[in-house]
Amino acid sequence: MSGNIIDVSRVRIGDVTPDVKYAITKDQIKDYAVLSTDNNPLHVDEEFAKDTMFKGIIAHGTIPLAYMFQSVYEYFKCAWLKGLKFEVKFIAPVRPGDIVVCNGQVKNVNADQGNIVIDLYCMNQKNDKVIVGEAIVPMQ
Amino acid sequence: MANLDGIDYKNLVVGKNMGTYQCNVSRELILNYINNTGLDYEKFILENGLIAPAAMVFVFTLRAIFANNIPIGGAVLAGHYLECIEPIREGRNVYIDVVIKDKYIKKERKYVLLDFVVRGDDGNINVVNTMRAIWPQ
Repeated sequence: MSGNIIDVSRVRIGDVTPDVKYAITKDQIKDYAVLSTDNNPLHVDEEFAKDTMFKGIIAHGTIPLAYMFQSVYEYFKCAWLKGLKFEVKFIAPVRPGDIVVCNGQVKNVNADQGNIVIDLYCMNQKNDKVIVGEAIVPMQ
Repeated sequence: MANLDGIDYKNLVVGKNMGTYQCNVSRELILNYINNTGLDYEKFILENGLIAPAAMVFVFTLRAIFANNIPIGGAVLAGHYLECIEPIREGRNVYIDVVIKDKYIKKERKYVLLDFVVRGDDGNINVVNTMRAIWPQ
């Protein structure tokens, strides 16, 4: 896997990457806590979490990132992109029962810099942005 | 919201290497992650077996945090930066170095930046990651 095989000719500014939609569950959060060893009580202890500013359990912020990456990969029809730069900012918590929809929009195709810039979004079922970010995809 | 082991924010030393965490990336571990996230298993089969989905690196970096007793229990995630260099393949080991990159206070919130460098058995870098977290207030 020495480089990316991207058909740049089909990439257009304004293209929207495929929606990747997922319902976040309490069991998923619990299992992710075991998998990652992140047992922060905000994720696993309802009694603790209800007395915090979040007023209840929240998902690990890194769970929905899987779907943000996946949207980019589906757009480029691949499983991995060498040299991909991915930056995100967490705006609001994702809670058990939330349905997240992740996608992106091509902001720039920089032939001179050899990359494609994509704005990234993760929204919940209320259409609130919960995570936003940017992916920079090298053309080669 | 107290942190879990009582280390004060003021005692975090910028530039300090907090240790290296080693993990074997077994097929079972990758499948557990794929099952947890509901991703499509078949998309991660390459010529020589499975690769870890890119976002699985956060499982490794979280493990590195807690294995190295980095006192961010109770912290709230604010951001992540990730650069994917080489995929992590099943059966390989990864070694994750954690360094306190920076700490600062903004709008009365305390932030900490942690740098993670994920390498394989050959010493080559797979992924670099910076995590920005709001320290427990």
